[in-house]
Amino acid sequence: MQILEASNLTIRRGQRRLIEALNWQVHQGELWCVLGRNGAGKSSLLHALAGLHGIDQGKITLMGRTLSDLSIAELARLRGLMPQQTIDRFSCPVAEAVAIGRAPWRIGTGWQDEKDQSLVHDALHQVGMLDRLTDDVAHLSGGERQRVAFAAMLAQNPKLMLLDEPTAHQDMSQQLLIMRLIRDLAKDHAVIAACHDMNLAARFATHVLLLGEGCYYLGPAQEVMNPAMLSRVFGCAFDYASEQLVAV
Amino acid sequence: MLRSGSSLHLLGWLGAVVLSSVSLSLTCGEGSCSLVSLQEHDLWQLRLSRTMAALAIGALLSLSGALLQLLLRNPLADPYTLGISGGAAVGALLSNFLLPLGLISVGIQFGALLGAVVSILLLFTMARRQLLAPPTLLEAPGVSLILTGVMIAAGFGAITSLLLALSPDTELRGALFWLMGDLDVDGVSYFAWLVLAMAGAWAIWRAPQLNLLAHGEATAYLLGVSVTRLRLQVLFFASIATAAAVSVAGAIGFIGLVVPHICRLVLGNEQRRLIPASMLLGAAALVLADLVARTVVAPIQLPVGVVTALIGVPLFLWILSRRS
Repeated sequence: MQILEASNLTIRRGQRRLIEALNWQVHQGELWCVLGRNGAGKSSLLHALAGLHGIDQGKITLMGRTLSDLSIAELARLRGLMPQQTIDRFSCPVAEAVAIGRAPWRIGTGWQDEKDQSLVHDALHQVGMLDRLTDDVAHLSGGERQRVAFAAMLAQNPKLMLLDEPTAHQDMSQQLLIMRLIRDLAKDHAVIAACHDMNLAARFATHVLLLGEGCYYLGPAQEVMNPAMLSRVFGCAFDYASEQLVAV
Repeated sequence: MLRSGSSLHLLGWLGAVVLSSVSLSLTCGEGSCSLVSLQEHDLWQLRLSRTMAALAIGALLSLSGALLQLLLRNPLADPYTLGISGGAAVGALLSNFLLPLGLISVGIQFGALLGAVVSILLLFTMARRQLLAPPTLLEAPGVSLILTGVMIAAGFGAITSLLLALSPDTELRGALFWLMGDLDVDGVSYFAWLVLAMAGAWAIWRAPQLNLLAHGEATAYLLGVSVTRLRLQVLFFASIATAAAVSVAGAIGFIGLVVPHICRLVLGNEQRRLIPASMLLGAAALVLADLVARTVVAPIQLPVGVVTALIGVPLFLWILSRRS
């Protein structure tokens, strides 16, 4: 099932063209990693797909409907975005920071019901934070706060999940936990994650979008992640190292 | 986590605190507390109108403070951050100097309201680009709005100082009293109660969306909130709440800053509890502060703003030291 389609998508920031005439389809069951140099437009692309950043040209359709035709409430049920960083200005228990993900599904102004609570518990269990249920988010480390934001996305459960550097601030074991979770999620969702770690992308992604200066390459991970294409995008040489030490 | 049932329980308790403070305020006067007899009808009227005004203004200032702290995502915001009280002060002083003596008591209130409305219009006009901008994850929220408000406040502050410097000595004392916050009002403050009913009902109705706004504008948008509209509504209701309060009783400080803080510390940031609790605690706090202001050095009456500041400053410093 096709979840997302971008046709002739162009995104500028000031005079700079970040994304140029991008044509892209994302289907259920696919885990896309977006790779590129710093400032290549990975976050801007994710924000545009979420409706947070305007587009300069082209069209984005989500579940067959143009993004601009969907109401804000409909959008909230179809797509979710986990930002690179979450800044909390007010104290808030972890459980409440996750429960906000249920807001698009709560009709009217009702308080959380038991189903919401069990979904919140389940989401926190999946990211290994169930024991921190009542802790204040202001007291969490950067990595823990990101996992709480990820749990909120799990509670929201949108068809399209946009993750901006989901493994940032995470230690090695948590990086693997998150990437495995994302891979499992991609079975009945579509997931697009902006990544920096090429090895994690190569290991878990089904598809890859490489963003270069005014150009892009996309396709199945094995096809796109070759030294020639990576060199063109990142501006440095790539080669296969025969002996890698990897966490399993 | 507190549920709706226990929230009602808690609000019931706060309601009892409000009722107790009202009965204290109605029965206590210079040096003693006793029920006022029917012969002292005027005294009863006087205390009743003061108490009713204090209730409405305390609730309005706390509501405005809670809303602005949320909108600006800044726990240090208060109803006067955006310069509305500055406009009210200039309006009140101008009418004090320009109107004939018989019209002054009504004129000050009207002038203050007019000044507050002018400053609100100025704020909405100057900050319209920020107010209408789509939500974003990239910019620090509220900073440019605060800066615009601070500039408006500074401008009106300068005009206030100029008017005070030019005013004759005979009128200086009254003007200073008003600027420090003065609950010496005639009659019932219908306007303040009407605005309180409107803004309070709106805030409680919109509390679930305000809960999402507390997590940031972009997060609220991603979860289905029309942020641009909500932002304008929050600013509008917080502004008219402040305007209604300052037009009746001048710039009474610290209630709008400290009360939402205390409620947030005790109850958390769930707006469905925080907003009604702030209004109730603000109402009770101002009634009690006014009681202190008119009894502690009776027969001299202190401006109630001085009492709220004298209690508010150490309380706020204590809260800050606990936070750090």
